[in-house]
Amino acid sequence: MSDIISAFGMVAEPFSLGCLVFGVWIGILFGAMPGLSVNMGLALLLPLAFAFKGISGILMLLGIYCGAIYGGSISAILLKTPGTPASVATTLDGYPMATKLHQPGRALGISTMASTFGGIFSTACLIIMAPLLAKVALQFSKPEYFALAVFGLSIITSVSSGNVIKGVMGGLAGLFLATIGIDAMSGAIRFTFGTNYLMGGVSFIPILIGVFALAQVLQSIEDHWNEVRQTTRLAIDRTLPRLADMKRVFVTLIRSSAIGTFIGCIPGTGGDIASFVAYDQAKRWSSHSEDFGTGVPEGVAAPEAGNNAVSGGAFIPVLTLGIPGDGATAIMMGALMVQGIQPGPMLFVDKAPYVYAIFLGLFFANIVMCLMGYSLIRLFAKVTQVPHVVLLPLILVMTFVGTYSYNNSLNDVCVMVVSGMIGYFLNKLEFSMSSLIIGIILGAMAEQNFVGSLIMSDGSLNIFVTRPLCLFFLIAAVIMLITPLINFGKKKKKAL
Amino acid sequence: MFSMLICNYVVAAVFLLLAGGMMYGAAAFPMAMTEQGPGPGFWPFLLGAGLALASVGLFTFSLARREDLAMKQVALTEEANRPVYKAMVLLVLFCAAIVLLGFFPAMVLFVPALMYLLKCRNIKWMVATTAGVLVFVYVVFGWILNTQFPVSIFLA
Repeated sequence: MSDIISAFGMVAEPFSLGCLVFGVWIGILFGAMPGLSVNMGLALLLPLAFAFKGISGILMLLGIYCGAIYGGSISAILLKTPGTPASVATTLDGYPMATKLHQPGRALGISTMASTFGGIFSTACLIIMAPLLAKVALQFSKPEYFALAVFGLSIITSVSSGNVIKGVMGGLAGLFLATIGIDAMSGAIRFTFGTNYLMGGVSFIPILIGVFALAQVLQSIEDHWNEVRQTTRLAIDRTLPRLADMKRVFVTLIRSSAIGTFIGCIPGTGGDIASFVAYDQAKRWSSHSEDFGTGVPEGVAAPEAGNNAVSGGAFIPVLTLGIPGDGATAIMMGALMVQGIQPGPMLFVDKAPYVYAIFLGLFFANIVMCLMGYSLIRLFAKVTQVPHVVLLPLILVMTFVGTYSYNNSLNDVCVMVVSGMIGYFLNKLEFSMSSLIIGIILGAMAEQNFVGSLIMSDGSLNIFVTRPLCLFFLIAAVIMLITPLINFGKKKKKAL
Repeated sequence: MFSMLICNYVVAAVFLLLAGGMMYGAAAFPMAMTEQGPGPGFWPFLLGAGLALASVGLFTFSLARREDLAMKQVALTEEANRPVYKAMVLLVLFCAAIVLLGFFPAMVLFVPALMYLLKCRNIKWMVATTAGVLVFVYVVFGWILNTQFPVSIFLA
């Protein structure tokens, strides 16, 4: 109880609340603007989060995370251009409701209500399930943690990349980058090429900003060259949802929120998968499924509840196991680690107030998102019209400023620029940047637990196959990696 | 346009070389098992070997799917790519300008140059955006967060 009171005290501080509100506002803006993304917003503002002491920076990032997922629905409904991949399914009924039925306010209102419901539902699940899972994870030892790191990486590479082998290559490259610097076990100085800059290891912040923010800006410059910017003159009327709509979508909200929370728990999946699965299920269970696609309320509520419910679910593996589920949670986990908050089961023992502060932060972020959604929706709709010639230079400058302000190092800026350029090309070649970043984040954990396990077993690799949980995770990792290749082989046989 | 097949071959070759470098670099460190566990070269060597294997795997996979991958095009030399490459050059020049001129003077040159690259020809927009970005960065980062931005090497 004292931990919860401490957490409430941390979150209720005016500065912390202010950071949370600011984060939600920025998140909605990033989500609403096509060409920007959740990962970009988190990466750009990560250095700012470090400037704030205590939990305030983390609360700001939580606000960005929740706000950006919701913000994508604004451009999805008004422009048929989802601001984030998680809002693609929202265009299916949101845009027809706004244009054909001339009810943009109704669509935005339902999306706001659904996003809030999904976010709060998943936060409640997080509060209930995370401590239980953490108790199980306390039984883990070094071999289990190593196997978990391998499992986490395998899921990311198999699910999120266009090609599993490229995902594995990205993950291995990330793991290798994590070896640069002083080895924690032996003290050896590895791969620094005689430079002082690399003695402390490769800082993942410049690489993160480079691959998620700068690479995306470069891609946006390419997209901007050919684009015909869509303008909208939709007049947004009443946004508060009607009682009839609330009754109509209530069951859909619960079902979609449960789907989103479950999918959020699985590393490698995210809001885009959750929103489509939720939409599909809503259509299947509907008594008038033939109306989907014409602007039905369930078609807006389902994907929005599903994608926002991912936020709480995604934190379950992050907080309890220290395994990030996607790029956004990898950034959040990196932010926690830099603040000295090591995710994992011991977090619930050593720093319980921080855990509860994150729970409360997620809860309040969804409330603030709801209030902002209903009160400022017309402003956010106008922001989607900001031209790229203004936006892109601002974001580019922010990548430089954010990277530099982290460590006051121009070397970091150079690393960021190089990472961004490489990231642009790797994105084109269907490499997953998430697997690279997660490889960097999990690298130290994987190596130290691998080496620690070998010390425990006097150098025998049998330790990884004689411990049931460890074996389970390793087998699951192998299955995750080879399943796409087997499926490809089957498709090829069928084609022949 | 390049086909994904060619790109995959190139990537596989590049990563194979990188993997070779990783293994060569790791071999310079002890790898044998001791009481304190494997040497510091063991884990990076393992990663290098894994990357080499994955590179060979990518090459083999691309060979097996060569018809499909030959049809898939990767836009690297299209007209829309040219502003990206020019932007990359601008970024490098921006880095150099930060060292030579300092952060804020470099930004005053960079922002309009980038806007010009993005087909903006409206001087008012350029001035307003540059001024807005300058004020925003100075107030938020320079003043409130007290970030010490780089100054010109001639003034340092």
